[in-house]
Amino acid sequence: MSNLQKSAWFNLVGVTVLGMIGAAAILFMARMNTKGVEYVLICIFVPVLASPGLYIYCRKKSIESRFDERERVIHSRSLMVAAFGLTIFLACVCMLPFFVLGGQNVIKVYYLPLIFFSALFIAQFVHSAAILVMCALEDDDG
Amino acid sequence: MTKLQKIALLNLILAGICLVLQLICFVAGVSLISLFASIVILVLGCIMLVSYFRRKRLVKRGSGEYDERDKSIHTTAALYGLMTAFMVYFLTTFLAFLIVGPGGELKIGYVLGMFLLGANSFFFTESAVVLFKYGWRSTDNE
Repeated sequence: MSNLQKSAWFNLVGVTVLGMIGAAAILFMARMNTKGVEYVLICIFVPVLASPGLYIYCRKKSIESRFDERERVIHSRSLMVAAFGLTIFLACVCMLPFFVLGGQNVIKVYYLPLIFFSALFIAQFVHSAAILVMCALEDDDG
Repeated sequence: MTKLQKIALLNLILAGICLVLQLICFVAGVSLISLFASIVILVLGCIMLVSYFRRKRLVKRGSGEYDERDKSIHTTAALYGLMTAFMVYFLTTFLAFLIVGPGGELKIGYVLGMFLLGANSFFFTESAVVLFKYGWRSTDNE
């Protein structure tokens, strides 16, 4: 398994775990209906969520420095695929309710961070999946 | 100034106007002013879309007007644009979450507004980075 594939698997697992923690935290805060002083709770949750993300970013950088030319090309291509997937996902999530329910209807605010975390998860999932698929295709071609 | 720079400059101006109009829409709420601003945003968005396809045509035409350096500049600019759009979306989501509170409700129109704000930020940053990378007011690309 190449460095790129290891990195893809690591990101896939890391983002899945973080996404689950983030979703659980948001649902917990929504259930508690946190307000006022309880914003402190949010301020604690943000660094707690951000620190593993930073760890992943730093670790990813150290892995990426060992990529060869072919892996770099696959990485940048998969990044574009992920960006495309992210844009399509966000466009669908934001536009469909507008056209189906109408602009004057309301949604609960805790759906917004859920949408955001889902978008992050989708982007990372597509990125990692694209890397693994492209690597598999290149391996098949020899 | 090359054709690519002219397109980037046009996009920068249009995206800037769209951003200002969107802020007016957010402040004005549901009113005739925001309706008029939304129509103008739609028209300007169509112009930006046309300029995007015009750039695509230039890319397809090949070597003379779009070389490896242009490709690299536009890829970097697109990545910067995506990062900005995602940050804007994150900030608006987070602000709505903090101001309204997780138990609160938000009109669906605002969710679409957040997405459009992110999209405009993408065009604005991408065009600004393209112009910055080429060098403001440069006449040759060598």
